[in-house]
Amino acid sequence: MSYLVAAFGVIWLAVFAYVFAIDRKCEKLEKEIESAGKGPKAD
Amino acid sequence: MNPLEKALRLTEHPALRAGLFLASAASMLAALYLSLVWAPAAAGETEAYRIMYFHVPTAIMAYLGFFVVFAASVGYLWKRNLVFDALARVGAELGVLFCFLMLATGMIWGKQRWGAWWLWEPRLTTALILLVIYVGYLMLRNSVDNQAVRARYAAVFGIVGFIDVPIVHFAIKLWGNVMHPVVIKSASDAGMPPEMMLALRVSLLAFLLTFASLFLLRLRLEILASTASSRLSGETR
Repeated sequence: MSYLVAAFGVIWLAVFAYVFAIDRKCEKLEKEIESAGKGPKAD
Repeated sequence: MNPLEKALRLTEHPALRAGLFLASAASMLAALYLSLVWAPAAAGETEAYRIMYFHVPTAIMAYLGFFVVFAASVGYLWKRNLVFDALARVGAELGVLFCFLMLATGMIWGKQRWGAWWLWEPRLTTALILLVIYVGYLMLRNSVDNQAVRARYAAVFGIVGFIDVPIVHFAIKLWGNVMHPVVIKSASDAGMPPEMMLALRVSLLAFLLTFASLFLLRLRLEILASTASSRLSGETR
């Protein structure tokens, strides 16, 4: 059972870490673009 | 607006991203229930066999990521459009992520099944080489500053590197090995009871939606980076 938990843990940790990192980078770039004067169009 | 922004406006719709994220989360919950609770125990196997329901889809998503690199690389060399280069980069990153997960879950399953974290058998060895190839691909991309040169080198690398994907897939047929289990033998012979096959299919769908969701998110980052650099170069001009 511990092997099963470890396998799922690895998958979800990696996916969440990836999403978190990309999301942070997107936020940072959005702020950079806004501070450059012309922010991205609101959706 | 540069061509990349024009062609990939799709990623700017929060509703699409949110919808895809919710669909992947819902299907993943269904996959977890089906594979951990609903699917029957396998004869002669411990509960760790259920790793298979996530190990196999991660392998298929890794193949898909590398196929995107291959197709986008061909597209770039043909059309010389940087949109293809951006698609190839995103595909490579996701391919590497899922290839790492395939190896990690395989190692954990292998430790339980074989008593060893790693065996130098054909499927594992070629899969490790696959990971190294695409990590090298991403390193190459980061080491060339000129955009057009980087895109050309990366496209050639992306096409040549894809040769290893069928080698990984057919490694057991090519070299023969009884250690690595063959989960799906052929389209007509699933090699497992229908309940297990259903759980595996739902899990595959869940991972496909997760892949699509991550793809859109990563593509959005690529567009934002392109927008930021074009704005900054406009400012410094």
